[in-house]
Amino acid sequence: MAVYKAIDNGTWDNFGKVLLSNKGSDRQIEFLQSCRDGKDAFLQYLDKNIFNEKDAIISGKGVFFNYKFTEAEFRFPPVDTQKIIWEIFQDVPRQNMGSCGFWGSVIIDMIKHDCISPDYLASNVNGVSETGIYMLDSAINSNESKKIDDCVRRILRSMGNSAPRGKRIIFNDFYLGKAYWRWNWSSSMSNKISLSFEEILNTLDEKGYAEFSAKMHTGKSYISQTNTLGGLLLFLNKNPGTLVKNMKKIIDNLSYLSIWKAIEVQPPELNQVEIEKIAGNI
Amino acid sequence: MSDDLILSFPVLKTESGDFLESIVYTVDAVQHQNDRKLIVTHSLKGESFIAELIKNNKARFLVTLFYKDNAERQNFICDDWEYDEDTGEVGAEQNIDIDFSYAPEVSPCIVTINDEEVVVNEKSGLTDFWKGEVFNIDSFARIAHHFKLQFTSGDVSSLLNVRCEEEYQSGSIKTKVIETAGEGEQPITIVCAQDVYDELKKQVTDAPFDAVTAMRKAIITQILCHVYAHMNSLESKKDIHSGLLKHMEMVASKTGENWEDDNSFNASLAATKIAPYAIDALNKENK
Repeated sequence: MAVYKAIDNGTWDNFGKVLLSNKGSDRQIEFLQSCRDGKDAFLQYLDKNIFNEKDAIISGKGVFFNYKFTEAEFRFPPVDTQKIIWEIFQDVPRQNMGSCGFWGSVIIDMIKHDCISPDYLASNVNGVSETGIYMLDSAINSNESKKIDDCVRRILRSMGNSAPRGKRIIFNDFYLGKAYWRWNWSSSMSNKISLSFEEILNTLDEKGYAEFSAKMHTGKSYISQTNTLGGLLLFLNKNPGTLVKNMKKIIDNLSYLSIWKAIEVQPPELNQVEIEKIAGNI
Repeated sequence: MSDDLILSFPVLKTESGDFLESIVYTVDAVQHQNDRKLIVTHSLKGESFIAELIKNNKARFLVTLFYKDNAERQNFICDDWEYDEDTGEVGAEQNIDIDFSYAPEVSPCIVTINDEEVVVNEKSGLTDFWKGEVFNIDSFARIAHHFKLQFTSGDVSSLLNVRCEEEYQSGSIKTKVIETAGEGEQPITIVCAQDVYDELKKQVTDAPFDAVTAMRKAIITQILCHVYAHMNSLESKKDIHSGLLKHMEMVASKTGENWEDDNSFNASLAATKIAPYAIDALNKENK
């Protein structure tokens, strides 16, 4: 297995934890200001606070984008950008793709190579005014420690740092990670069940993927088994309205069923029948 | 939760009470990290309806692997089995490639393939409670459970990863711990200079016979005690790697020292109070 360049996970996690240890502190302001001041200042800050440590980098093969993202595209990658992300990472081992240190190194290299600008990391592009620059200025000039802390957390999440929410951040919050894993699931599941790649990608849209990935990484990981997930996707494809309404109850009931029945080896089509029965009784 | 389930058929599991004491399902797993192999050995002893189902290819041994960090689960059904007439044992071995650099959680069980009807007789391996019963078992039902295997026992190689750093000065050693490492991952990393690395990789099986061999043997115990003293001082132990926590509790109890008192607790002293971990426990991964 090829070794890929990554930040040592302990160092990376510690960097985030130190930053989050005191809300509204001078340390947080300094971090935000370096991000606001652009590429050179931000990279210098990271050099001083991460890469000064001897074992901070695990050397190996690097992954480079030959693509310049817009801010909105980085925050919500559309399907064609998801495809670019997938193609760049599809040969990287899955273990790296779930590693915060690996993704942290990728993001820093993307800044170095001008694929993204550091202020994108603070972006909250839900409204027209919430660009990264706006969010940074708003936090730096604020006296509210919560606002400053929120902005630091947002940047760390955008870099795949585990300090704000643990390792699951890669699957649930981190933009590139979400795009990769959504595409990865659609690709692998389209070889297991009768739905096409596009049909699965549609089911796993922003809302659908969020619903599944949050559960897979918070104690309901049995749904990540391909035969179980296959049954769920077949069911959802026939009953698209069920996702938000009853999915939590269906997954809880599947958990109960999986105690005595090996639904992980039962074919997806039979799991679909089981799920239909469960949904009918809710 | 599983105890609340009332099933219409008996399931073989620890202290379930349905089966005769002579019916025993055991599983061992050995991980060879160097060539990324996991060898899982199943053994079902005693005459039972489960053994009959396996021998008639109506039930199978199954293992589920769980790689926590990626929430990835993989299933491996075992198609082959062997029957030893002398011991009455049905056994099987699975040789599984590991996709990640750390060992997964391993959950073994036995499952039926199709719907089955079982008529209880003297060869079913069940207690008198089931005498004369006829019961139906659904396809893919788990008819025998085994505890999850977690690689947390005596062999400390599952917790420690040793790395050589050529630029370190002779005799240097640095320990890093990620308490929240995933299950099966090695949460403690020892980074050391070449000379220390060479010492740690030596196979030591004899009892120490001089100061050097005694020091060599004690070094792992010293590291573990210092790591555990650090962990012990953490306010919340909620997210700590379960193997590490379990081992910490075991080591702490063996030393007989008071680990709760931060002011007077001395990790180096505590390490001298237990039989040191042999260096070769570090090298189990070298097949």
